[in-house]
Order: sequence, then structure tokens, then C-alpha cells
Amino acid sequence: MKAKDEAGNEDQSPAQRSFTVDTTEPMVKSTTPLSGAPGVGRGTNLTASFSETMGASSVNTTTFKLYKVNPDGTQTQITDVVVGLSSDGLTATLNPFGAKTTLLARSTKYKGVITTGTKDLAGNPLAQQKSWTFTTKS
Amino acid sequence: MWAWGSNSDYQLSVDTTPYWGRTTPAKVSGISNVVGVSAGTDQSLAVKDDGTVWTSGSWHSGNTGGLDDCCTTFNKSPVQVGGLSGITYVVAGLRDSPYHNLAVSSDSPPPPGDSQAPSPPTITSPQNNSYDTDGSFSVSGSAEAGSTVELFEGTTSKGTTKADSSSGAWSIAVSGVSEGAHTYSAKATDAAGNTSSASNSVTVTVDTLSPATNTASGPSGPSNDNTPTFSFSGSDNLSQAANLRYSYKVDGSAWSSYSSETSITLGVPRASPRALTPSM
Repeated sequence: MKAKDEAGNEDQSPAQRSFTVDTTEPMVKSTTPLSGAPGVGRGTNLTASFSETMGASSVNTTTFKLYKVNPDGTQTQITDVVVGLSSDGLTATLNPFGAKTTLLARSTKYKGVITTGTKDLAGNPLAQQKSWTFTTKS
Repeated sequence: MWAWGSNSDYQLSVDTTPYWGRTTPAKVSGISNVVGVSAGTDQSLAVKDDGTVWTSGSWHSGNTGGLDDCCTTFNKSPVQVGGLSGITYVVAGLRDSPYHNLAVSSDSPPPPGDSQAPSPPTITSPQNNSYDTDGSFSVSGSAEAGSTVELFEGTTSKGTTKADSSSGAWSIAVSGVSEGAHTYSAKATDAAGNTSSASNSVTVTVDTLSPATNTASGPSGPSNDNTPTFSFSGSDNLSQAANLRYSYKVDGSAWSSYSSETSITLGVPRASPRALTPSM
């Protein structure tokens, strides 16, 4: 935009603002391990790939969670996880135990959850929460 | 000035013994810078280089207090004759003339019937409280036909011109006018030398500097707001911010017409592709 004064002089270097409008909600395109996968290695990480670039601040341990599914159906959240986003913003990774070398339990069902708290760069939240389960090998 | 001869009526402006005069020139004191003289029968006249006339002698010389003082009051040394200025030549009368004096001035007297000051000129352009953006413009108007118009800024002359001999139109160009407000008026002087009072005054503000525009708020970069609002502001060296006007454009559109609005809300289409990259 440019201003004009009372004498009629126009600003010769108008103010400029560049912006991108994106109203499309991102989606989770795929996960690892695959949903329902059996015999998953106990040292595995969880990953989710997104349909568009995500905002790094919205991908964290609050929005990407791991639960252990107990035999009685209850769930226990694994809280030592470390969550990060790839430099291209398209892949989130959850390391179950961070720097620790602890492995996941044998023959156990785990559930990954990515909430709608994750948002793309324009601020659009995930279209719907993504959750999936897999089972570790014996 | 030097004088000699008869001093019967003190016309020599010098003391003499015997009273009737002297045979050799004596310097007259009390007067200098004399450029013309004339000797009358019993009076003397002198013109100084400043156009004044000085006299001595009998009442015929003038300035002796009137006719009642005839023959008893004398100017014994030079006195200035009142009511005369710009005189270049005088003649003193002789007894048989009789006794009248003449003086010639170099002034051009006003033509008969024109001792009136002309009407003040009128400035018709530029309009009062108008703006100029390059410091060069012409001040024009009308005045008494054939008069000489002088343009003033305050008391400083900005030029003279002759008003058209039939229409009275005149125009004076000014240039190099500095940034800021300048107030002009004009006076007209007719052929007889009568000068009018001042015209209407016209204030012109020279503003050669452009305003600056700032974007105060609005999305930058990725945004999921498809009706984004941008507010903006501007500043100028002379115009108040409230008097600035704004224009905007999006991408390759044409500039909008100027308005006083300081914010706009865009409606970005939600069509595919739904990511647009407008640039304000």
C-alpha cells in the first residue's frame, strides 16, 4: 500500500507484505510402524508423515503420544518420549525412550496418537486425530 | 557660494562694512553643495544638490514672515524656502520684473486627474492554501491595466511585471521556492507613481517530499485466514497523518483509488489451489 500527502505526492516505495493463504487441513498420510503391524522390533521409533509442511512448535510430546495398551484394556502413557519434526516439516518422529537404551516390552501392544494440536505452517489443525496400534515381537 | 556687490537688503548673506555692500567676493557661511544661484534686486536664491532652495535678503526672498514684515524683516543668512523639493533651477526677479522668483523641479508631476492610488491587484492563481510539488509556479491575477505589479512574499519583492495594457492580466513566475508554506501578495503602481494597497494574500505550501507508508498489522507468510485484514499508516513531513490517503493493490491488480481508509480486508478465494500468494 502507498500513501499520498495533501500536496499529491505519492510514496515511491510502497509498503509491501507477502503472505500465503492456506485453509487446507493437513492429514497424516502414513505411519511407521504400520497400523496393526505385528512383530515390530522393540527398538523402533514411531513416525508419521504429513500431507503438508507442519509447524515445528505444534509437534511435541503433547500432540504426539505413545501409550502401552495393557492386557486389561487400560493404557499407560510412555512419558520419556522425545518428539521431533524433520527439517522439511513433513515427518514427525517419536523416540519411545529418548537417550535411554530401554527397549519396548516384548509381545506388547502399543498405540501412537497424533492429536489435532498439530498444525501446518498456516495454522490449520490436523483434520482429525490419528491413532494406530502395533505389537512388538516376542 | 560667494557673494559680492550690493547688500542693501542683506541679500549677500554676509556681513559687510559699509552696509551697502562689498567689492570683493566673500564666502557665504551656512550653505554648501550649491549647484545653482540667481541674484535678484534685493534677494538671492541658491539651489542645493538635494533639490532644496535657500534664500536671503528682503521679504521678496520669501520665508520672512509674510507681507506685514515688508521692509523691516530680512533674511540675513541663508534660510530654506519651504514647499519646494526636487528643484534644479531658480531665477530671482529684478526690481522692474517685479520681484517674483521662479523655480523649476525635475520631478514629473502626476498627470492631471490621476492622484488616486490604483485598486489593489487580485491574485487568482494559485488558490489560497494550495500545494506545489516542485517549488516552481506562477502567481497570476489581474490589476489596473498597464500598471506595474510587484509580487511580495512578506516584505520581500519576488519580481515585477507589467499588467496587460487592456486586460490587466499579469503573471510572475517564482522558482526555487523552499519546502513549506509561503504567503504572497501583490501591489500595483500606476504610471503616475501611485501605489495600491496589497492584494489578497495567497498561501502556497511547497511539498516536494513523498510520504512514507508502513504496514501496521496483517498476516505475513503462511496464514489460514482467507479474509485477512491489513492495517497501515503513513507519515509525511508536512501533511498530518490524518490527512494522508491510501491506495493498495494485491499481486498484479491495479492500484485502488485513494481513500482515507487505513485498513482493508481481502477476500481470498477458497478455490483450488487454495493456497494463494498475494503480495501487498
